[in-house]
Amino acid sequence: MTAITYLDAISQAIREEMRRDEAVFLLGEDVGTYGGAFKVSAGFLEEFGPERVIDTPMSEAAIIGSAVGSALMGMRPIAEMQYIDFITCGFDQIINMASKMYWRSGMPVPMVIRGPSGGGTKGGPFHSASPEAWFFHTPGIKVVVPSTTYDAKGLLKSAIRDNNPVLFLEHKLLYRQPELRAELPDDDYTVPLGKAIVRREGEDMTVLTYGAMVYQCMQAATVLEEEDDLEVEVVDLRSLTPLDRETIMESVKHTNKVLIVHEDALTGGIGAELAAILAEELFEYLDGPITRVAAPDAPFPYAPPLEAAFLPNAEKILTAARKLAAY
Amino acid sequence: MPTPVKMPRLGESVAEGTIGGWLKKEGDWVERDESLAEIITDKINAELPSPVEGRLVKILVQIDETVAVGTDIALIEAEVGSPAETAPEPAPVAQAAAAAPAQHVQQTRQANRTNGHATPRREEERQRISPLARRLAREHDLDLNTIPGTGTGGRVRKEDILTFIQQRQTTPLAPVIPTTPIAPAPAVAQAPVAPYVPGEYEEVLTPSRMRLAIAEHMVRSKHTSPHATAMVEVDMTNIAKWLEKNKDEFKKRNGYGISFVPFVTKAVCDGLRQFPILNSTWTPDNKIVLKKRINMGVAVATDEGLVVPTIYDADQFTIAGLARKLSEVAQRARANKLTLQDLQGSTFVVNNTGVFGTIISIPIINQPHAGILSMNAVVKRPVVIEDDAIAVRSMMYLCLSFDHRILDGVGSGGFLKAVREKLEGYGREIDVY
Amino acid sequence: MEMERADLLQIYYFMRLTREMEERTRKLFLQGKIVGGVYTAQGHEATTVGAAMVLRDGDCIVPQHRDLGMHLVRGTSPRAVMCQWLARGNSPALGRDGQVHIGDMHHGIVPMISLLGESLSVGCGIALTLKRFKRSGVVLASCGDGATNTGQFHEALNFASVQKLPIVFVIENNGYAYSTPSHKQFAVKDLADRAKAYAMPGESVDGNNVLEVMTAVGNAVENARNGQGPALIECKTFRVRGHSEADKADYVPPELRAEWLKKDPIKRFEEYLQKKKILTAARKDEIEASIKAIINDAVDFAESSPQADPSTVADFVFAPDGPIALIGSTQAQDERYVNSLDRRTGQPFNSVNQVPLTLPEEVGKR
Repeated sequence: MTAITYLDAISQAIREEMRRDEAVFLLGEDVGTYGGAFKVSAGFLEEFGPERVIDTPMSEAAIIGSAVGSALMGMRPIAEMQYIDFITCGFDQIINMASKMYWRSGMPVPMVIRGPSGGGTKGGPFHSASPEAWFFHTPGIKVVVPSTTYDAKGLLKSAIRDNNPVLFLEHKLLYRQPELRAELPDDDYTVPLGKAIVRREGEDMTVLTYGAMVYQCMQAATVLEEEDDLEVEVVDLRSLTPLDRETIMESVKHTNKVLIVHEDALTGGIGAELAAILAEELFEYLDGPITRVAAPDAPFPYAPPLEAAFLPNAEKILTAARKLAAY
Repeated sequence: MPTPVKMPRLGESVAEGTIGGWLKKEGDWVERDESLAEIITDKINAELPSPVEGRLVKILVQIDETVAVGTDIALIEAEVGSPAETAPEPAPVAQAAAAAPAQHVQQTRQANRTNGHATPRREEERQRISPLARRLAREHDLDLNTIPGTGTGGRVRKEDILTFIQQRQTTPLAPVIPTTPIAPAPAVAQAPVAPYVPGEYEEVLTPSRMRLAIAEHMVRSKHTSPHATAMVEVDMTNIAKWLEKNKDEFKKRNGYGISFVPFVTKAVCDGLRQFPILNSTWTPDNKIVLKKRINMGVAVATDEGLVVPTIYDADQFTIAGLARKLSEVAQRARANKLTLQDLQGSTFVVNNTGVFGTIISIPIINQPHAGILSMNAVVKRPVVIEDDAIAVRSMMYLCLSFDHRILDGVGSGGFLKAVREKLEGYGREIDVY
Repeated sequence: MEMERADLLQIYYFMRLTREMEERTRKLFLQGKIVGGVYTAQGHEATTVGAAMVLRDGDCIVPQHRDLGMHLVRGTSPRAVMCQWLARGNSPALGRDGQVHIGDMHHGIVPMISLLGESLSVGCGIALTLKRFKRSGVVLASCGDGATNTGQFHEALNFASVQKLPIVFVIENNGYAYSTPSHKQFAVKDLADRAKAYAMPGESVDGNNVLEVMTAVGNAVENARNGQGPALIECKTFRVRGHSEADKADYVPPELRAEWLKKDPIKRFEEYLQKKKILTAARKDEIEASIKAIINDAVDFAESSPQADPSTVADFVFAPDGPIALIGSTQAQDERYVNSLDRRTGQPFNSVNQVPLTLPEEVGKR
């Protein structure tokens, strides 16, 4: 067994699913001959041929629309957005076509839309998006955000096998991180959608987070343990829709304080909904204000000092956590 | 019943319509879908087809009159027995149904509001306090004004409530109960007392809040219950041998250790089942309340002092299960992570002073229990066994303090005998699972 | 196009049925029984019925809001249509959606969404699947003149052409997108010219002449079936009524409407059939009686159907787990496959008649 990257895990998941199920196929810009802008599908065209690895025109709406049509026929398309920022060009196909189809017609639309999201790679305003909140708000589509190599593969397999539209948000900063290299099981494992995981147990505070921010939170938690004698519980949500309310509630009931961390902008972000749920359901379990650390309400910037100021990081998390602990 | 013909909504945003003309007059017979009237709206002019077959008995809205959508504009008397005519439109029914509860809600709300004004605001509401702390205080009937807050700006937080409760009832701890009226507790420092002036070679220590709480509880307990104590000697040889042989493997296998304590706890639970009078409480109004659950308080020494967390339904556990629970609560107690739940609800206490090497110790009852049992060190002694032979055996004294109001020597003796026999009844092989 | 007498009558029958159903729908709206918007297509019948008449089993339609004619030809049940208009709990959308937003893949009908042009690339996805499994089926996707100005239209045509998909695009150019006339919408004279940009055949035909529509669409469908890729057919027609029944369409010059009314597709076809002595007065009466019976049955059925159940409004947002069958394969009939049934009801999909509608046999013939 060799240790593979987060990106390799995604590639493996697609390849194995395509080998397992003839209905699975990949379409998107530059996914065939070129092997994808990030080389997720390198070698796929040779193995599966042009009918299952489709190089499309630069037409996100046609990519997603065609995926919907194929899914209606019983296929399991995987539509790649070269950068997840470009998903806006196919927005209507997701919101009005795919997500409402089963609810109004009874016909399932088993498809995955996936692509690189997130910032920290000097991508600027159009190559750094975290678009989860738009889709989190939309009934009828599942939203999955893997943070580890193991989860990237296991969750993507579950997403491909799901009978609904699933938005699979990969974090491009994690793609080739050496620290994330992991040896994965040989067997055909999956990670279920809708199940959060506690990455670190603690008594004093719950941190709810997902995606690349998991690592910033873990880093902050270590410092809080060493310097502040605080035991922080870090919950990696993994799926935003369906949301694992049970794990969230259980943790917060235990720790009574909540810090929510996400890379997406503050206003109307996932944190806003989590805060609302906790205020509604667990008000009398709270021993301090529900606190959020998120990107400011501004578009994603390009210059390195601006990007650093924009993104949440361990330091910002520490400051917020300390304030909350002392509340 | 005639069917009303309504002004239709001819477009999503259209709210009213005008009668442009009547194509039928009162008394005319109209077919279903036959044009009845001309309707004019700002978006469209249309002929209104009759919803039913029947006689136009009444025109309610005249030409050029404008009425709101949904208004009855005519009545058609359908033939008796014709199928579709009188089926009421669902909308008005739904509206009526929806209107009724709304009214009700309004009334209730008003009532609530009046209520709210009638109740004066409580002092604590002006204090800084977290939602959780507020709930805990309510559940434990605590006066928030007496609890100092340690959070930012003096906010009362979870820790403050837990510390308060812990201190109030530490050592052999009791569930939260109001102070017993029959024995008004002479608090440690009750009336104003002149401060002690230390003499030479004396140093004055200010007890911690926990120490003060323990002191208060001890005095109160001695004042409340007339204590009597009985002791038995138990031959623990077989258990000692089993532990010697299996202790390490047990720990390796289960991840937690095993000692004499779970064996004794198990035996005490059995004894309490046989003598439920010892699992009871004497109430302020002079009744004895038997407790149906056996929730065992186990005394744990911590850096701060003694705490007594509870193992709920201790009689339901195996010896290994008790060992696990004991290890859990002890760990939590030492890490200062006990929850409120941990610190309340006990009905009896087992205290192992044997860890300090004592061979006899007379415990003070944890109010409002009926008794408390202390186990002492297991030591090897020459004892007379069967056929007057002398052998080296592992022996231990058990000391029971009990509330003499509740029971006498007969009950306490029977209970201790049952515990002893249980402990001595184990053979060489013991199934702790 | 040479056709049997019976086929010609069949075409006539569907055109008449389409118009009468819309007439009845309009009346239901005026009676306040339809609470939402009502969109009809008087004048489109030659295009919608004609285009669909050239299809066969295994083909698929991707219709729009003025395509009741296509629906009826392809088997959509008048009862389902009326239940849908009246928002009944047993409508194909369970009351969750209205209008002719109905269809199921087992019968090759994609339920439209109100955002026009969006369905075209969905049609491409279906065609992609038909091509991959070397099925002989063809997709017929329609849109209005307005929708040809969306990016979706161009993305779909381009993708279809690049992939050489078995799909035929039909534009129903009725001169107005709501109130906006053609000259404010596009600068080309014929919308069929848009095909040139995608290197596919494009043809403009008289959309009020059913036989002309059938010839053009029929050729395009056969080419697509033979692997020659997509085509674009523009059917020039006219929307006699407003955009919706809440629109009096006073922006249409009266003389323009009068001119088109003279070219009414049903009247023209009727005259043709009468001239050829195919449609006799007696036969016409029979057809009208049959249509009336079907519509009365559909309306009565819908009116006696239950209202949608409010307690279910948030149910079935997600499809359940389980295997999915390829539509058209034998597994698609196997109840173990999730998409073999409407899992919301546990019943077969109900938008299409089990026995397709056909022209009633002549009374004398039996």
